[in-house]
Amino acid sequence: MGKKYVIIADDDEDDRMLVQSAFHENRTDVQIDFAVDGYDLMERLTREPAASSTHFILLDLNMPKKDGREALKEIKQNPGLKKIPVIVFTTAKNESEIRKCYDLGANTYIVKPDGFEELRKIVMNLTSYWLDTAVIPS
Amino acid sequence: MKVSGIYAIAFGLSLLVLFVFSWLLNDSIATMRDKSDWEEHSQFVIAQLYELNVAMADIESSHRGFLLTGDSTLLQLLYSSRTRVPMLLDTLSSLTRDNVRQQRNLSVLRDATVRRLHKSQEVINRAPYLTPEQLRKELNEGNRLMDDFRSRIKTVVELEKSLLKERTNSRRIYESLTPTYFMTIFTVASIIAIASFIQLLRESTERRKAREMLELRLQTLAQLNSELKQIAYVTSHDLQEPLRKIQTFSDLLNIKYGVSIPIEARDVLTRVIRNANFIRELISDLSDFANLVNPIEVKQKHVDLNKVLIDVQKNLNGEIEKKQAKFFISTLPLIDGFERQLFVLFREVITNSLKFSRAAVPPEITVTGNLMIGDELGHIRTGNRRFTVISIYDNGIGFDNVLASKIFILFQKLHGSDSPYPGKGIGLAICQRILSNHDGYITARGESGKGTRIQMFFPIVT
Repeated sequence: MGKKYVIIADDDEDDRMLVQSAFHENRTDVQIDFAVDGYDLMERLTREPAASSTHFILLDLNMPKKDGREALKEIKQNPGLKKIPVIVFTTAKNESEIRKCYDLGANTYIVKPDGFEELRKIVMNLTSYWLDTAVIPS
Repeated sequence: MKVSGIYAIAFGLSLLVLFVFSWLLNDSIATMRDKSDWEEHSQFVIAQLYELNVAMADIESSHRGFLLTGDSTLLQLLYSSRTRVPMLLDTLSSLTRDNVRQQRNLSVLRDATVRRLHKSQEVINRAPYLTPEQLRKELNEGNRLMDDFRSRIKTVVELEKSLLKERTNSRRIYESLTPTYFMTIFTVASIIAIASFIQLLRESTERRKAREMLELRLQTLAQLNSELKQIAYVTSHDLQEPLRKIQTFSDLLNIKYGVSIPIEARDVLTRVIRNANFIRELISDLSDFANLVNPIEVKQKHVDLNKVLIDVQKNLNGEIEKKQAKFFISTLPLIDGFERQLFVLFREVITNSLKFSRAAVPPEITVTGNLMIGDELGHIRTGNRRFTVISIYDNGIGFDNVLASKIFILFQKLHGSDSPYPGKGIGLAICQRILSNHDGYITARGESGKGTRIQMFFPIVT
């Protein structure tokens, strides 16, 4: 089986580095691509391999130019892209934000943790569920 | 108040002057018309007297002509004039009813007239039989009677003329005085009107200034509020971000390289993590507090405090069991409020009671609810408003009452960081904020080593 393809959309370099570390700690069969804002993400999704083989998107909400909410909305309204699981991964934890994201079609909502150990566990759970367990149309 | 009073008085005065002015004007016109009427009256009397005089002169000349010529056609003028005389006399008599002196004069005149006419008729009747000597005598007698009439009528005319003169003078004086009189009143009224207008203008300017000032303040306040919201947002979000990363990176360092760094360095790292955690909690509390200043809950509803307390007990179950705390809760009333905030309120107070318990003494927490009239609240001026009062007593370490006012201030602690009572000093500040959001009050009384009583006053809206 080939490499799994995951996009991480986050404008924060630190967070990208931490998530990447957490992925590396867990498994080596994942290819990670980074998007630094909503435009970057949407543009990436129109090209290969992202267009056809993205296993999931880890999406930060607060990004410059086009934020995570707008990108989420566009993805879930696009017939070709809406099957891609979108995991909102953000610091905001207020009720209305969470509700809004699910309304827009988010598949999961996760609040960024305080420690690296928790982050590692989150990435482990995410990959084991979305890469190994869940079935999505190809 | 003072300015309005002056304005009201000025306005009242000008109104009064206006009334007086119009009344006087009306009165003056009436007087003028009256005076003028009297003048015309005198002129009419004089005219009537002249007419009488003319009639009598006609009678006299007709009478004499007949006596001298014997031509009876000459008598026609006499007869026609004679019928007018009584009418003229009656008119005059009725016209001069107002003046006793003139009436008396007129009565004398009437006698003289009647005498003349009477004598004239008698002489005419006897004329065919009169000798020239008798005729001359009669003519003389006639002259004498006529002179008598003339002198009488002259008296009447002169009196009437003097009356006319008097009346004309009076009217003229009145006429000349009236403009001055009205000018004075008009000037006074104008001054008052202008003064009150200036007053009004000044007052309205002051009001406008005050309103502008108020608007400006409101604007400043709105700006401050919006800045506060921004600060609240920054604290709740932007400030937490780098901290979270400090924590995570320290964590990463510890997990990945913990074994390979010296023990001393690891201890430093542990301290960094501990402090980062503490700041994180502080910011989180501050953010909670800021969110209470601009709460999301905007609509109050009926809240069952019994249920709120049960939820709080469930929430704090771990700590309650650890400390073996006992609760004594009487039936609490329903109040109108924000449910989420009330939960936080009771959680903070109960948490304090659990935290500040005496060593080796299990906490006993008593909660009661009752009704109170505002006047009974002592130092807080509340008028006659009614309150639901919730009192929470504990048997903890209490505190010195001198410090009672300090404990509600944000991040004020009564215990040093080395004490066995850790905390950040935000709990009661949050409680006070929540009571403020309910238009209520919170008070605390303590007794060192014995316990604390927290009382919360929720106004009852009628």
